[in-house]
Amino acid sequence: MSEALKGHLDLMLLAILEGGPAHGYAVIDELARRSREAFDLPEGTVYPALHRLEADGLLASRWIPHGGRRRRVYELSRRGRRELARRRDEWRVFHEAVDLVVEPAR
Amino acid sequence: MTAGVLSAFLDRVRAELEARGRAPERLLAELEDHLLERVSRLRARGFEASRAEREAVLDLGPPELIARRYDEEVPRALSLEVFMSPIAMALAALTSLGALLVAVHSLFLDPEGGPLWMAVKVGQSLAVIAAGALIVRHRVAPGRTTAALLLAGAVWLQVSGGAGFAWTLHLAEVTGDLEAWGLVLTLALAAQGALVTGSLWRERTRPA
Repeated sequence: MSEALKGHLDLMLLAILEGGPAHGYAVIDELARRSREAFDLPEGTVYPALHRLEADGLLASRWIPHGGRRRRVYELSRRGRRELARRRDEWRVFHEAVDLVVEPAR
Repeated sequence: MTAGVLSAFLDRVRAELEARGRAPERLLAELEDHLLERVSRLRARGFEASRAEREAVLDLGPPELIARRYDEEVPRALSLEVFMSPIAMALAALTSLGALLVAVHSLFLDPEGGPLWMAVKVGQSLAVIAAGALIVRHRVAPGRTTAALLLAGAVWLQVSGGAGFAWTLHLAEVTGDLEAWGLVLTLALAAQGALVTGSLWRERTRPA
């Protein structure tokens, strides 16, 4: 599961952040909630993915104060929104094509 | 303050990252925030403290895996700390040497333009050398030079580099003789100032 997930993690992270700014824990929490905890994902590996998406210009981040410490909050950049739309279309086409192959009777 | 199990875990992540030559401060701050929130939620669900900490650490995954993923996924080129220091030092050396040559030239070889103009040129050269020395001092012994002083130096370098660049182009137009060394030196000044400003910005946004 984890290798298959790795390929789609970027799309899911972008989709979660489409709802608004969130810190890493909230993103991971939302990923578990939406997937009904289907993914066996070491949570710490989500942070490198968030950093990479930011380095690619798809996310922006900033520190905010929270309970006496600082918290890094991520949000989609304008480019990130465009990329999310593109990857979503790509996913739909891919998903439908795989369905046609593996479940031809439907 | 992070509890024993959590800080031991973060120390292991730090060691794994540093072994790969990565600067881990921001990631560690995020992992610490994550762990504290996870522990707090588990405690709210009735978990005993030490069990909550162990669960939180297990959920994050092995430190080696987190560090490896970080090293594989996050490009080094964007980590300014990795390359800014040698470039800033080289620029500081170049501009300081250039400024020293200008001062020597103005004082001893070609003392033209009267005492005021000479004083301006020598004064500017000394200020460039002082800014270079400040930057080198900051790189060699971080924390001993205040951010405000460094920022003032960086702004001055950029203003002086920009003005010098425009002046060199203006002279070339008037005399028909473009002094390439002047362009290189003034561009180096502006670049040096920009690098220091960028570095200060990075340090400002980095977690304590």
